[in-house]
Amino acid sequence: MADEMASSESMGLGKSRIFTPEVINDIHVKADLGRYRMRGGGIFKKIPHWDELVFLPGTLTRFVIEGYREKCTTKTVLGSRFAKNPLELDIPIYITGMSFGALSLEAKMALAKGASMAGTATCSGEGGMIPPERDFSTKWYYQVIQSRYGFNPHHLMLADAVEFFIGQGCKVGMGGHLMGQKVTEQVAEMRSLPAGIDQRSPARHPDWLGPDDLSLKIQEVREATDYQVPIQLKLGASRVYDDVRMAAKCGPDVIFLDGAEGGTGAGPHIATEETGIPLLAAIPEARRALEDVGLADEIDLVVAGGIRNGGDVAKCIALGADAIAIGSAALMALGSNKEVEGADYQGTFGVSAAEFYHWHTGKDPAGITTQDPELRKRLDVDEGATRVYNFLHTLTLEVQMLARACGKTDVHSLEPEDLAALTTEAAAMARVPLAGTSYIPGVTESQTLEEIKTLLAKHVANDGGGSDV
Amino acid sequence: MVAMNPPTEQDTRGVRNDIRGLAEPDAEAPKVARIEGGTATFDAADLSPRLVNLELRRLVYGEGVREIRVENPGAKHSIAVGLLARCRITINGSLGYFGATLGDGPEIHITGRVGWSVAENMMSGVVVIDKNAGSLTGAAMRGGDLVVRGHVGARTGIDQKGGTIIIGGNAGSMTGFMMQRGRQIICGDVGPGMGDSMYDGAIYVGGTVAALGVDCVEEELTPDDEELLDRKLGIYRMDRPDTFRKFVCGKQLYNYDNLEPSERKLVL
Amino acid sequence: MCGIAGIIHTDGPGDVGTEMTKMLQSMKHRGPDSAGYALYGEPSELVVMRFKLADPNETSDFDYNERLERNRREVESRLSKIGATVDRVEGESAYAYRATFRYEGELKPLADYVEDIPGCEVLSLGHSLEIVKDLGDAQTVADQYRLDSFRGTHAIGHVRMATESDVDIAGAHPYWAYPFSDVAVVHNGQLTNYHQWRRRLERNGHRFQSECDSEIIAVYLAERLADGTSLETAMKQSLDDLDGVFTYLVVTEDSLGMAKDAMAAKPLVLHEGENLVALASEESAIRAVLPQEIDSYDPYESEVLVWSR
Repeated sequence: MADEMASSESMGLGKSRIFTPEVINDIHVKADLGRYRMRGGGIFKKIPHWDELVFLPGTLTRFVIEGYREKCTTKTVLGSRFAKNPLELDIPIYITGMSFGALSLEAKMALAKGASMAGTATCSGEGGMIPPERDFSTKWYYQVIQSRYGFNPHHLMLADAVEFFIGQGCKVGMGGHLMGQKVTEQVAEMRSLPAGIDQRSPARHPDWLGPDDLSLKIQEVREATDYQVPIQLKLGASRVYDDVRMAAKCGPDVIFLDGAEGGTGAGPHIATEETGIPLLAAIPEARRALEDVGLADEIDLVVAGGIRNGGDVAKCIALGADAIAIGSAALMALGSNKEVEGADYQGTFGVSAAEFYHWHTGKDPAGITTQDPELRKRLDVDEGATRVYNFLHTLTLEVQMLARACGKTDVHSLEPEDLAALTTEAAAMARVPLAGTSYIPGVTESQTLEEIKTLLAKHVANDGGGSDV
Repeated sequence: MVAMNPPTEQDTRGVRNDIRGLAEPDAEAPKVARIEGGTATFDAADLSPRLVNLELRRLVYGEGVREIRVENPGAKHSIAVGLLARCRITINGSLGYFGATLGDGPEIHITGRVGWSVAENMMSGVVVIDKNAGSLTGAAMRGGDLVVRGHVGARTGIDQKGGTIIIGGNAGSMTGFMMQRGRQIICGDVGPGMGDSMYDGAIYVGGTVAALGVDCVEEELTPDDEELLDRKLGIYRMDRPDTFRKFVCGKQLYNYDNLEPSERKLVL
Repeated sequence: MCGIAGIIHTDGPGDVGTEMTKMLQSMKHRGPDSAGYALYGEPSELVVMRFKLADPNETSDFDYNERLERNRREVESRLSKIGATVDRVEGESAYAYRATFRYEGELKPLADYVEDIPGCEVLSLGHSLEIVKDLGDAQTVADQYRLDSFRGTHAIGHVRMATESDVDIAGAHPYWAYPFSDVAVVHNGQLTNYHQWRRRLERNGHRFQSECDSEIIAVYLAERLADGTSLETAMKQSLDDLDGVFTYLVVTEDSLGMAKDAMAAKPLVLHEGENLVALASEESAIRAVLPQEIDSYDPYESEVLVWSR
């Protein structure tokens, strides 16, 4: 007779897709630790992403622009709604807010310098202004963040644009995190905190608690800065349609949406995995919201979250973004997640350099997400700046390449109709047709329903609804 | 939208409207103040916040006036914000939200009451309010003295990073929430959740405390504390309650991740 | 996003129509999309019913006027059929009406019967409560409905900036606690267990006019009042039962109440004078009716206060 035990020795029944080895290990660690787990980086799980969209360039129906020669404008202006001096960027990409504290001084300086070389902006991030960063930045966002660590009205007056940080895509609904290892004397002093504490920033602003108050807060900062610079609201992509409508009515010049793909220096793993929606779903929602409140032509839209190459950037623009901010990719351009001489990623962190997500530990071998003086020496500011500039420049070339192929002399002329989706999920979220069809899930069905209703109404009007069968 | 060419002066004027009527980008200082003997006076009754602020800026930065009196402020919002110079301003009446905020240097006296977030992020200087204040009083304040002779609402000195907040009356819930540095002197009673998650600094209370927040503990007053209380209340001629109690951070949440599992229930 | 206001005269009727308009207009920046009033006139023997037969957004198609007139006649006819003696039905705007009638029976069947007419919505029903709400700022609505001549003892009002729902009357406050006589609510904040409560109240047989979370408060309170609970107790219970952040004002035939949740995240300024109590989201609203230097303060967290006329 068949012996179940015996047969299982020769051939297993299979493996659980639910309790995977990673999941089981996670349970073991939490049982030891007694708290949620922290890490850096962005979302791990698979979500619909830019890879599932492609461009539909010109062939015969469209006149293409000569790839490397003919003009394709990249100039980007943000915040001309109320600001006397809108932010003018040479390229549609800039570097998003990452705090001094999360990043080393050298990393902040290199990003600022590289962005300036590319003719674009950087952002202070949390924790206040560091003068060398401001010096190297020709265009500089100052962040009004929940914690107001180091916030100084004198620095506010030096800003080219002001960003209200309300949420981020990586951990929507939460404040920032900076683990004790990175809260050095200098970082702590800038933030008026005791050194070495685990710093969990507030999730709400201290001086306004709802949209009514935010409207007045925006008025306050406009009054303080004499309407000179744009006011931008940064939101994590969540209930995007309603949030953007509400944000727009609060009176900003620019709205910044951060998708669930966005990374962080430190955050709870569970939050990174389980909050927010992908950018390709968020941008069409935001555009629809701005149109519905009648402010689509007045408020600019900046997006961020998991942007890796010029294709991603071009797709964001096509769906309706005016500018794209990058964070994780900028750190990688600087040299994050790269083999460094003398560093043993596998031995220290148990992962390869490319899979390194331990930005929260402050032990970054590349000297970027750290405050350790020895590790920081590994990052050369000028070399880093050049690499950042090179990357920003390449992104721009790639965007131009795709825009020209689609027949555009301005990258901002890209539109959703230039895209097709490779999966029904991406088609439904980005509201572009599934490749080779005219089918947009949800949209097509409601259009058909509308047509039926119109036909029915005509029918009723024509013969008084009577049946002549 | 992104303009292919930079917008001309004329273009940008055309599209400016704010649904709420809170943005007024193109205004100019009304030049209505009467200057007599180094003191400027003007009536704010018919001026928008933008015009009041433009007039204040003109007087402080342009005319170099150091004494200003504003009549009929009418509980308007965002008045006297972002002033980064030494000057003395008397506001004869009440202000709305965000009064006298983001300042470094001014001495501002408000004879009426104020709404939410008065003196928010003040760096230095003095703000005195004769009557009551709303919630979020002195939010994220970094320096200077903020004095409210009456009562204050909830979350007084939330995220406070420095300076001294002095309250003559009572304070609401979550007073000193996430306070980082500085001092609060509250002569009356304080609501629940006082000092919740504070990092540092001290809260002195003359009345009763409904309940302490997480990680806030009582400490003995030192002679230095007594001297501070006498001095500060003396400067502003405020009645000193007979006894004060002092509350500080218990420091148990500093490194939450390193707590023993049994101690972690503190934050549930 | 919104601003709320309330006023009650404790020494007899005053010009609550004009006063509420001034209060609401001074908070226009908190909500320019629509304005709403719940006004209490002198109690009358007659029942007052405010209703509308179309939404202002509705397109005026070829038989718009004819349809409204037909439906208005239908309202009158149904009132008679259910046993009411109609005094008059006045048109207040192209689509809003005010009816007065004598009626001794249950209000719910009457309201249900009238609302069964296509496009009809009863805005308020009672012996002294009158709810008026429409698109535009407070002055526009007051002019349209001639509210400056309204005399009464107390009133609440609301200015709204449409956010999560559209710019229409259904989303505008105040909410009448259908089908309970003379109870209305205005609310600033949001309820995060709204859908739970809505399902619970719907299981108890209540129906809702809107998708707005604020309507829950009106029905929640009215249901408890109907059980014999006092207004103050019902309001205190609401602090435990409703999740989220909120400050709300409620009016009944003879009282005005305010409640603020434990988080105290939504503003309210209160002035308690000898013969007059005024409350609003902003001080400027109180100044609009009491320009002289007065004392005012912010009620604290979990606070419930009730004043009677």
